[in-house]
Amino acid sequence: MKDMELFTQLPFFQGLESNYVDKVKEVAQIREYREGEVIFDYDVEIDTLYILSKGKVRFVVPIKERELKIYEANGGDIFGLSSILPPGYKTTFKAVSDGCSLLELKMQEIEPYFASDERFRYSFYFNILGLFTRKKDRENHLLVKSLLNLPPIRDHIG
Amino acid sequence: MVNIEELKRIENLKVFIEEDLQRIGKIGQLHIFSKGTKIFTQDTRINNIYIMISGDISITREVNKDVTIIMDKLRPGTFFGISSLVGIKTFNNAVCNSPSEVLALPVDSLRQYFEEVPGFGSRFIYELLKFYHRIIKNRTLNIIKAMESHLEDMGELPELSFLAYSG
Repeated sequence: MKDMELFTQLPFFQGLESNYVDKVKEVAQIREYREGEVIFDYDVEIDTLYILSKGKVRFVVPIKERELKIYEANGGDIFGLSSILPPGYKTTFKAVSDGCSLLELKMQEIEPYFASDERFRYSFYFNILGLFTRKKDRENHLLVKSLLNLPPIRDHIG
Repeated sequence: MVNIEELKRIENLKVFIEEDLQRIGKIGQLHIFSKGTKIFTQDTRINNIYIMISGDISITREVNKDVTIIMDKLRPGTFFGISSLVGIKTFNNAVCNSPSEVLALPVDSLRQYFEEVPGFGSRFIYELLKFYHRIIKNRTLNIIKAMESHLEDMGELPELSFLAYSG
């Protein structure tokens, strides 16, 4: 329970009303993953939304026989967006633990709460949208920065 | 005010029920912007979320007076200006490369509707989340495709760090 209280300090919960935080706590499970353990694979349907509390998670995509690291998630990150989307939406990355503690939300367990209180569903989705929009904003900053750091084209053609 | 029949021809709005389209129609405004118009400017707060209907719109970032990066080219049906809904500044400019038709939805009115009818709020936000997922998927597939064609030239695969939101 103490661990669950720590989880509720994470950004995802800050925008939720306290009665909704309690409902999330009722269905959420905390799980520790060892280094190298696969949380979910690439291009599969999943039923769980994940919130990272401690440690790191790396996201990779397969390229032929190899794996390209796309991103490393840190505390507070939320992932597994496809779990809340309709059947047919699949994961974009393979998520691999680098040693982490996750809060796992099985969407089918939270659905009855949503069905009885549409405001809860709205607040939940809106929170996720806010987090993703802010992340997308950070991504844009990083993308521009990395593009500016590329060597000039003339260096490549000698 | 926009006619519902007009809204039904917009790709990402086809999934909405009739009542939702009526709400969107009441607050929405159709605009035709001329070539060269900046619909919004980077690093500002804006009051509308937009859906492109037709034309040619680029999402750009001016880095300095000599360098402008084209971040994206919009397709009909694309949402843009989503930052307005969550109250953060825009990172980009939205620039019309040719006359472009756009639906503008004022976020104050939209959020008021969301509060009054949370089911409408859920359905609307859900569409935006689906839209985000498609962007992430497409970007990732494009990266894979680009990398695949150069794989034999590469020793170690690079680590990318700018796909900072994860599907």
